[in-house]
Amino acid sequence: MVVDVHTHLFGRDFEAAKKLLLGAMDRYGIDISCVSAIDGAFHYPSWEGLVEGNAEIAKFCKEQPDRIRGYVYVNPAHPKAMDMLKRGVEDQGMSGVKLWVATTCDAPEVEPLAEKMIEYGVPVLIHCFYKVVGQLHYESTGEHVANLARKFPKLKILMAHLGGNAYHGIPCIRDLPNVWVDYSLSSYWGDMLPYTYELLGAERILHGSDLPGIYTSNLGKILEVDMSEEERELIFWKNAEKLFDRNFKL
Amino acid sequence: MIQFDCNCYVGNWPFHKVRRNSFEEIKKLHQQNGIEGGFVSSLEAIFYNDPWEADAELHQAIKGEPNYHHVLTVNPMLPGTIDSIHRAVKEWGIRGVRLLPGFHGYNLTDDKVRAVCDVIREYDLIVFITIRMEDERNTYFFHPRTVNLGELIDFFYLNKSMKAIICGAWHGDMLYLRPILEGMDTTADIYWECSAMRTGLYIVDDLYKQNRTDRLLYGSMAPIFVLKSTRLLVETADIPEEEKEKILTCKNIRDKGWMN
Repeated sequence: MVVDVHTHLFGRDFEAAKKLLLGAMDRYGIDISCVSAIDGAFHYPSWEGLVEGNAEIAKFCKEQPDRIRGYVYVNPAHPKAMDMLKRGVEDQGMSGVKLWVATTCDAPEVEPLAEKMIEYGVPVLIHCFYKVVGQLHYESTGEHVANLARKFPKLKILMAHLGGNAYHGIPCIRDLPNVWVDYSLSSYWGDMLPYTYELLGAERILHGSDLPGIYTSNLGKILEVDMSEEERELIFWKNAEKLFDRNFKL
Repeated sequence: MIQFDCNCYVGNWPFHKVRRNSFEEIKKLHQQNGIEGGFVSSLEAIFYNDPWEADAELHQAIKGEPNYHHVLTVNPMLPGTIDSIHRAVKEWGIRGVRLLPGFHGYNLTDDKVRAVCDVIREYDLIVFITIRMEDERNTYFFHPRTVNLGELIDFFYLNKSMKAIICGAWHGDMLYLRPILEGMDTTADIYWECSAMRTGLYIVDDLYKQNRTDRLLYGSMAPIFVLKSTRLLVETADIPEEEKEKILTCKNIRDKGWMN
């Protein structure tokens, strides 16, 4: 069984995007995808963009109940961010929340959302990428994730991309048991995942790809790490099953 | 025909621990993935003030291995580079010479590069041009320059009739550059290894549809990159099996005698 916890519908042609994602799932043997629609990749999404994207994700979940789980994508800086969160989880059946780059994840605007997510028992997938070039203004890094995790120790956090540069991101969250990571990353860095596995263990790593951006990069990473098949199973699906279980509370 | 990795390394990297840093480890990784040979360079040679020290260790590690071929790392700006190439050909039977302008701070159009290329041609060696070795977003306190595509064009214009493998290029680089290079009077024989072609979902499929896999070779950039990831790029492509085989065996350069 394979659960990919980090996939997207890119762009505004949602039917084409769904076909692309489902095709990739068939090709690569992915059983379940957890999907967000990040408003055509606009960094500071509008209300309309959020409504449209999240509605499409909800529709996709209904069309493919055995294969697709949704993240409600929220812009914390928007005055109706809480409405979007509530609508996504309560009305649209979303399994988690997605935060991208509209604010850093430890911004004050995120705090009431964090409390609500704890109440719901849903995880939050946080885009996290430390870069030496091209860092976006509100792009979260491992330090931002750590701040949020410390402030809300009961919040289930999934830090994406190993923090972008694992050597920067993983030390920030190493001792924070409410932070899991996915290794979705286009980079092929040979030692970032083994390093992460040595520091965190298999129980805190989840399989994520950033589909439809790339898949083989990330599948190769997990297949090449020296670990037991039981640990690989944890990463491929068991950790996701646990994290997304709303009855699993910290 | 054996499967071949045209771009792999042995050694340590100064910025993070490399777990598979010996030739034994790379060979084992290759065997686990059905690969039986490769063009091998030294990672440490990139950073040593005299790369020869590291290449000498590499030679000791791979000598006697019939399917693994030594690619010498040089910095043309260092004195003694030309002599090193002469010696390495005679003593080690090297098959190629690697240039890393982004790491060593020179331009491919430099006169010293031309002098090195004259010797490369004299011995009918392959020049390995490394455009990048890391994701530019992830480097740590030393940020190598990514070789720009215009510089590659100038290089082949100035250094005609080279046998070349371009390493670390994106597939978009190849799509952009090939028509330009093929339209120039370079008489160069240029191939592209696939290790850094990661930006896109079905890259090899797309290259095949555009008739661009004829110049594509399998290279892993291991242990800096995850070998399995680069393998899957080709193995999972929806293209004829014989095309995959050509890429994974580097058949097109083998048929030309580049491994001899």
